[in-house]
Amino acid sequence: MRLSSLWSKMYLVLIFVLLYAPIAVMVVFSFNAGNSTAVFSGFSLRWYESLFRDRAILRSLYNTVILAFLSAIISTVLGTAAAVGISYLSKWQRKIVDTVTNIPMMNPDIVTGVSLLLLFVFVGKNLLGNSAVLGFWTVLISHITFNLPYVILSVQPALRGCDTHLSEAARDLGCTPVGAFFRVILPAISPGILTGFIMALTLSIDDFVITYFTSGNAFETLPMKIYNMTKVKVKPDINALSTLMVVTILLLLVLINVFEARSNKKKRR
Amino acid sequence: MEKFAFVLKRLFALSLAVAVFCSISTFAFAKDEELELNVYNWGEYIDDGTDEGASACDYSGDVIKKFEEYYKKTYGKIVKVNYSTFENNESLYTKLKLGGANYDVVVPSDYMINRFIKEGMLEELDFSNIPNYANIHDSFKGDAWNYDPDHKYSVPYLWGTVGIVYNSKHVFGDVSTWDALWNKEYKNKILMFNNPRDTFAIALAKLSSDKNNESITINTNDLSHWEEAYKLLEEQKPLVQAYVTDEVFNKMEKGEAWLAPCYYGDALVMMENNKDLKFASINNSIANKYVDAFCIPKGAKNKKLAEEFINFMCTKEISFANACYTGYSSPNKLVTTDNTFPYYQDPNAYPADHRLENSYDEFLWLNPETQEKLDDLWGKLKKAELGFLKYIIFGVIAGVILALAYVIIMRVKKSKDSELYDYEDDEEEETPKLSRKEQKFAEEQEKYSPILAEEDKLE
Repeated sequence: MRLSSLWSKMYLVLIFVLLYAPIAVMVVFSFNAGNSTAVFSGFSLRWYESLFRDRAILRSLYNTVILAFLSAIISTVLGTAAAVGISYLSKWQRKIVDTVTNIPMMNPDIVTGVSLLLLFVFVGKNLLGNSAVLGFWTVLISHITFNLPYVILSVQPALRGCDTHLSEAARDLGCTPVGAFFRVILPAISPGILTGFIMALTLSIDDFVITYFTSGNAFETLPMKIYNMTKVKVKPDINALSTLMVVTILLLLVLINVFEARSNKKKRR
Repeated sequence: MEKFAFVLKRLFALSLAVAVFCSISTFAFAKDEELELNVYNWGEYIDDGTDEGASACDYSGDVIKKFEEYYKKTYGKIVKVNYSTFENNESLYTKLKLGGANYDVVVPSDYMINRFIKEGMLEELDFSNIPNYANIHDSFKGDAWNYDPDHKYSVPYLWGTVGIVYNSKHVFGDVSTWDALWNKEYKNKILMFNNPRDTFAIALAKLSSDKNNESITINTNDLSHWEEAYKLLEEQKPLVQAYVTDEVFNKMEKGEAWLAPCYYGDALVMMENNKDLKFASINNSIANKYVDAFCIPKGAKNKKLAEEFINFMCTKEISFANACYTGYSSPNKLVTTDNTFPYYQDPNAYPADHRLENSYDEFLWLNPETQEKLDDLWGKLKKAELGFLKYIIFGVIAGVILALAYVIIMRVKKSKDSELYDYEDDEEEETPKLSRKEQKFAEEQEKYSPILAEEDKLE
């Protein structure tokens, strides 16, 4: 019994090493004095200094974060409303709507990206008279488009688990329908909504292909910026930036877990 | 849980407010009178002011910011430069062809400029707005470069040559010839470009000098030449460790590979990180030279402003800063004749004029049939040879199928066994076996139970 649990522990360690080794290498090399990612030539903070002087990277980071938050918020609101609406449909209607919703998720990114690009150019040329429409708004619309299915998919299970008779009970007790929704249903499905929000956020920050095709002159996100460096050489201040991002996310996760653990402790008392 | 939902709501509302505020503030402040210039250049191809201290040269600094300041000082107006980047000529072509984004200044490579000119996608430049064009070396305005035959559409920005970077600790012998990349002594330590034109150019150059045939150029449209070059590459394939793009940096610096063709600017970076690395230019055959030049796409909205920008980029200080930051060669004669320039008279960065004209060739746009042939041959060359791997894949798939079959058979067997379950065996086990003490207690209970029952009735 003990031997097999030792093996399973070793297996776990191996998996974790495989998952985190690239991140560890990146963190170590962000402190590299030289500009190579193969040879470590001494400890230095020069890439962190260089990062804060690099206007272009900071601008693209800003763009990425704004885009991610806006698209996540809008798609969460729309997605939640959609999921609630879908839960009231009949079985067959629901199946059809589910299939249609899943299409952007099933499509390869490149198909979504190119088709959105062609759509925007078409609309620009024929309806707006100016084909140079690509920019922040087209990227935002594209991100909302591909985030929606994931949000809907996250909220639906929470809705299924939640008892819809609760809202009826609330109305019986004198609540308005809208009030019943916001005070009874919404808090019950909030874990699903939160999951959907975080998923949309992550997908938005991470997306490259769709953003690449639908962005215009002035709007560059971080993945695009990094990709465009690969012809020459990726500058190591990207390592510094990535390290900072990883540390931030790690801190947030730790905080959330501590917070949840505390609130669970209080409940037990 | 309630507190969590409470915090969630507030956090949600707060982030919503922050996001809306930020987006409004960014886009509300874009005024209409502000001039905008859209520049589309290679990534990491301009001095953006991030070099400081030991790695900086004179005049280094954020070039874009300097242009905005210069424009404000000279004309009193504010110009906003929207600088974005691309990573290869083909995606630049796609972006321009599809429309949807308009750029005022683009910086394609020679062969792509050649293609743009053939397809009528560029504006003719008004050189009266670019007086600093006089600073560009005369060799760029003559017959040595043929990508822009009338020199009407482009102004050179940076250029360079291809040679071989090698690890002097492991590579001895003559490295100034392409034959070094076919040397069996360096089996599996050779890298090649992961891009068809660059790799085939090397093979065509070797073919040309092997057969002493000058009609075999790197832009030949004779399909038989490409076939023969393919044969050379096939011969070389077992010796090649990998076909690489920017992996070349890590592999050479770590010493995983010993020989690679590369641009001199890239070699400088590698040599900085590994002192054993050296660069050799090719002596006995043709090598590739390239130039990236400023162009204005057809239909650009701010042509005069774009020409103003190009003019600014041709000043001595800015050319100096860019050449120093990127490590590539500058076409600006004020820079190359300045003895404080770090690469002053570096024969690899600035080969002599006659060598540049005769021993180096730039890419031109190929005919469609040639392009098709090239794509075909490149696909053949890069086809993965599974060989040994075939057996492993087959084994894994077979193993998975067998495992599935076993599981399914076991399940079916189990369900069949449960149908034949013997209910008679069950009844014997229903009364649990009692221990000695419990048995004794049960016997006592039986003895006294009638008496106990009577006692209960009386109560």
